[in-house]
Amino acid sequence: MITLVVAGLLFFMIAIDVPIAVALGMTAVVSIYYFAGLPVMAIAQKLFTALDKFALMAIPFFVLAGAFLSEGGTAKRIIKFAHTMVGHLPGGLTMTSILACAIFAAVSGSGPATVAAIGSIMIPAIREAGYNDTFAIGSITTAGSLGILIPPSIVLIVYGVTVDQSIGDLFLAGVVPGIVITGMLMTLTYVMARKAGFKKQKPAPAKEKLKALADSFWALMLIVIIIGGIYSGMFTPTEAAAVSAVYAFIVAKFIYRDLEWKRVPEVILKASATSAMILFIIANAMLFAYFLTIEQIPQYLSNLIINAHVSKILFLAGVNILLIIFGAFMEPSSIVMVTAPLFFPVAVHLGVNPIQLGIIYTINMGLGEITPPVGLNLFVAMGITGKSIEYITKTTLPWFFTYLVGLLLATYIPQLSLIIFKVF
Amino acid sequence: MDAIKKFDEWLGRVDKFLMIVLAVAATLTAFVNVVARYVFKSSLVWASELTTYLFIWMTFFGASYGFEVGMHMSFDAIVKALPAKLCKAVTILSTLIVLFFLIMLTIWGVNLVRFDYMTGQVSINLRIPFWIIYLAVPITMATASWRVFVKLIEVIMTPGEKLKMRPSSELEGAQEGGTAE
Repeated sequence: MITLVVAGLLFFMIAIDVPIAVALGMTAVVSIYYFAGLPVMAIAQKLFTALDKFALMAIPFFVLAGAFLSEGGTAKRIIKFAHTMVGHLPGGLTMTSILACAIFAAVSGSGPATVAAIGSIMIPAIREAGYNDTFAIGSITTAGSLGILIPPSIVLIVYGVTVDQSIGDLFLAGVVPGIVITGMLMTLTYVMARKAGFKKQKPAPAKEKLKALADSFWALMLIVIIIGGIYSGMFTPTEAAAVSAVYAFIVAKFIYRDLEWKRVPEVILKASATSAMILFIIANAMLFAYFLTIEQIPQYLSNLIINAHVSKILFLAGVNILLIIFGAFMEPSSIVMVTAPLFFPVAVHLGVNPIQLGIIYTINMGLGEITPPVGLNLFVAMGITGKSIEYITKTTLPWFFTYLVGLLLATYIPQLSLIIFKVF
Repeated sequence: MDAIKKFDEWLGRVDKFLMIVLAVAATLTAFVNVVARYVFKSSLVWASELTTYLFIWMTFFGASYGFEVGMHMSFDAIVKALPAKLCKAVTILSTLIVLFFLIMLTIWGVNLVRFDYMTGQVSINLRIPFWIIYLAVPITMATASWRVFVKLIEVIMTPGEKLKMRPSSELEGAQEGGTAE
């Protein structure tokens, strides 16, 4: 009963345009006061200490690194490299964009940032080449979601902090599903491009490929720093993120030299604003999660599900459906903070690997970023093209369903996420 | 009105300055610590604590600034679809909710700082008194309350039809609006 009232209050506030952070915090305040009967004095401190976790600080660092790389010509170099690799295939420009999104995802931890970096260059280019908007807009809007699946990833950091799992392991687990979904999106491009009558062109000569690789070498090195640094035990994920931010600045400023000094404060400010917004939502979501915990709602709900003897397959299907619905209305990190404590105990009870559950979450959140009404990738694509949300959503449909198949694969084939641990 | 506008501009500049300085300081602290560990073989015990507090301060100042430029993510499709009069009433309601929340946090924040001032507790590694660390809460929530209060007056003075036409507070647009000088 309390659960329903609380959920109703939260959704009412979100529906009337209260910012999601405040809706979460306000619901928590009201609930703690009326239902839990606890003193509200401690809430100011809780809001502060909610963020007092060094692991969470990887988020602002990765946002900052992404901001420096989006700024300069790094995205252009990555695109050029991707173009020499797959540009000659049918639908080559779209394939280039998807591959570039996947590579950019490996240096940035956010979906919208990936769409902004690749989309602002490639969407106009693909359109100019005579492709329709499914190829131009839908592909990149969807492939941007790889930003949170391929490490680093803001969603995986939040998940790791919420249910106390190794962020390094989560990052590693995202690699194979990320590559598989990238491959699936590119296969779809190939099939659709062939059907539309686009032909194969001559591949770029090896010399050009090498030159493009050399040109984007410094950007690609960031992947080595992040993944290699974390796995060799050199850095914690947060330290790797800090090093990435400094490295990205050095690459943009001194190696590629396309970041002017007077732009630097602006880039940092933009990154800080984005991080502040995400972290403020996280702090308020933690207040909300705190209320759920003192009311023992996670235990209550998980006992309910466990006693109903739901099968693992059915449970995971239910989790996916709920996450897709939540994803359409809420912001990813708050969904993870609020729902992961609810689903996690049941999943563990049913024998779902905690790391795999993190990947399932992340793919769902990726889908959430491209589902209206609240889909950050859609908003960014709207900003780039000036088209309506409805129109952009329509162009994402074939890609959306492909991504959905990826979700099913990752849900029911745990090896997809876990096989990488056999190698390392 | 002019004085208010001037004050808000000044406030915005202070917040933006702090957001940049805090982010740079946090990044340098964490980076120097990594370098210290590998190059000088000694790590700074207080580095991760300082990084975290600097970013938390950045978050609070950024959050307050976010209320100025409408950066916080919200869902306005339903409100905008309402008839003009209802749209205005609901917008006033939602702004009041935000204002109430922020004022309560300001009050609790002041109490928090006063309480920690009395107990005189200090942080584990940095040995900074907690009342100074927690100062960010009442300060930023007070400035945020002020900003939302000004917005509330604006909403009351704007006709409902115009409210429906307001640009969405979606991430990208707000960010660009936010960083434009």
